[in-house]
Amino acid sequence: MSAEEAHELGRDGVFRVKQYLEGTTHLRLPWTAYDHVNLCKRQRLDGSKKTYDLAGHFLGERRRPLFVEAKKYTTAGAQGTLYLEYIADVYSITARAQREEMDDGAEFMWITWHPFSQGAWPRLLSHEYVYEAVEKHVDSLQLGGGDGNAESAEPDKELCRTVADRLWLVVLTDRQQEELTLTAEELKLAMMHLKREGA
Amino acid sequence: MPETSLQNAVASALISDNPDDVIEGIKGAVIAELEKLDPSAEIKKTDYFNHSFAPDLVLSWGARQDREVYLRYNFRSTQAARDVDLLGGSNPVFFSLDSSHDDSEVADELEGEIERSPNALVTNAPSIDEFAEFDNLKLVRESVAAPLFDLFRRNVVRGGKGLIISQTAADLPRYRGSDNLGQDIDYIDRFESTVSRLFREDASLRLRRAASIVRMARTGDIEMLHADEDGGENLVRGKLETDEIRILLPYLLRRAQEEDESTFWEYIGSMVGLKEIQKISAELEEVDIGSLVRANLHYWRANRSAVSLNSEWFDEEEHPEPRWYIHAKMLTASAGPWTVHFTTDKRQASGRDDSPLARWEDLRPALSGSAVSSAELQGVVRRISVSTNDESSDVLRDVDSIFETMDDDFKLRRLSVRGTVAGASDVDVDFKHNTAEGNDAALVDLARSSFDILGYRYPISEGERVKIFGEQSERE
Repeated sequence: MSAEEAHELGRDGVFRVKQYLEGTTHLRLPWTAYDHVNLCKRQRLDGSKKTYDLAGHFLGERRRPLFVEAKKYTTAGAQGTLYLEYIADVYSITARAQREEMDDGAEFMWITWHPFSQGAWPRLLSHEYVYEAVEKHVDSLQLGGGDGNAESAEPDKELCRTVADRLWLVVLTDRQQEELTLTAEELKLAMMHLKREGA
Repeated sequence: MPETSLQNAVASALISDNPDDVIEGIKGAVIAELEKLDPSAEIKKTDYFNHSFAPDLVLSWGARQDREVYLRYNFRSTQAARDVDLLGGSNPVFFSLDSSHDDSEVADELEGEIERSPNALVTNAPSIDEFAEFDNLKLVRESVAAPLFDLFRRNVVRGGKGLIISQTAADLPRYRGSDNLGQDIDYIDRFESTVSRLFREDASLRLRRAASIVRMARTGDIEMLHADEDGGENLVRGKLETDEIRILLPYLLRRAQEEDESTFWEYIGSMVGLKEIQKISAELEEVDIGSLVRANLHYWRANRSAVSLNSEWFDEEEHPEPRWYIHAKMLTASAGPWTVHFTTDKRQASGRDDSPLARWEDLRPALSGSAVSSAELQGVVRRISVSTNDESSDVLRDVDSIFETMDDDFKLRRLSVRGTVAGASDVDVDFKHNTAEGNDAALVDLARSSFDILGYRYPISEGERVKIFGEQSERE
């Protein structure tokens, strides 16, 4: 097996993740990058768009949008590096939303079959880690807004805290999904009766 | 693949950046399409869209007849999500919205899953569009294809199973109907075999029953009915549903021939009641329903009839033929100067309340064939009621004596006539209101009370009787 395992999830994989997450009964994820790519995108500071595998929102009192990046690795692979880039993207997207006064509280989830960055594992959702990730990508993120102002090219600590609050990290295994969840029929019944707000 | 109106609507909906608008747009388009296809379905939206487990829509047809609908983007995603295996147990519909990618390739891959859930329906927008555009097919209205295809498409979502995509029901939609008996029979045969393949048991049975009925009407061959009476091949009986009646009856009546055997119309009448006829009155306007009614006079029940006199009849040189038809949503018969409305709802056909009461000597001849069990006489000074409990006797001679011996000007206000059909109620004839009533009276009794008794002043001719009561009618 090569060090960099292909992480292409494929349609099957994306749907498995969708099923697992919707099976928690707390999420609705109607949009997939395969069929509704426009609704799976968010815009970064530099105007470019980042596409996520799945998009939808939480059910309940606060109907927060959720974007999901799914990684089916059989080894840790390059997840560590990719995860940093992913966080930087989240920061950029949130920064842009706030700048445009269009921040809808969107949250972001990294869901993987293989843990990574074990040394940093406990910190992966902390605002310090966000700061580090953004620092590493300062140039590509064009934090200065392109106006060449070196001062504003530093990550905003407040924003880092905000972003950290909006991050999710989930580790999944096949068997966990197949045998530790309700059956499809049970979930169907549950969803029809639960009446969670925001459905 | 040419785009369809549903696909266009879906594509437009997807342009929006607002997820809620996209969902509303898609569901709205699908619902509009399904309503066109099957107006009898009640369609409920759920709070979910493209959810792994919760359906998008729930369709129902009366109590305990529900079907869930899952809207999926395309067959590829349906397959990737293993939808049919996971959710097929409750026999829902998986509806693929976009078919610009060729579904038939992926359809092959779905075969295994479909085999494991054979009563689930997997279909797509182009197929549904094709069925929904029924009116544009320009089927010859009198052809066998028209009623059968109409029933087919109304039942696709409700009772369809397996994979139904455009190629599936390939032959059916294209046949426009013709005068050629052979081709028509061929179509009916193909219809029956296609239906067995594409529909669940209950729906398949109903559709094949409809096909048998159409076949009998088209060929005039009613062997099947006789065989059934002798305990032969099983014919499907039972009540026809309102939509089936709505579609089949006008077709059958338009094709009715004078020499049609009443056995056929009795069979039809056994599956349809007066209430259902009233429900489809719009479709039966202008249609002569005599064949059906005459054959079922002894089987059908009603609660009331109201008689009115058409005074213009006396001045007309030519009179319209006596006939049975629907008027003001009621079964109606016209013969001679009389028009009689029949109903199962006493609130309709209330009758006038100013009719002259009948003089006994004028009325007496009209009663000779009836078993009168009671009579109410109104004189200037007295009012007398006569009745008998004995089922085998009547009060005619009693009234005769009263009339002869008592000195008063007696007129008939009311009388009761015994029902002639087992289980049917007696009929109360009211001369003041010109109505005949019974809780569950046989139609034939109400008709005779109306034409023969209430219509005593201008009795209808023998020729006219035949048109109303049929050949077997005899004035006893």
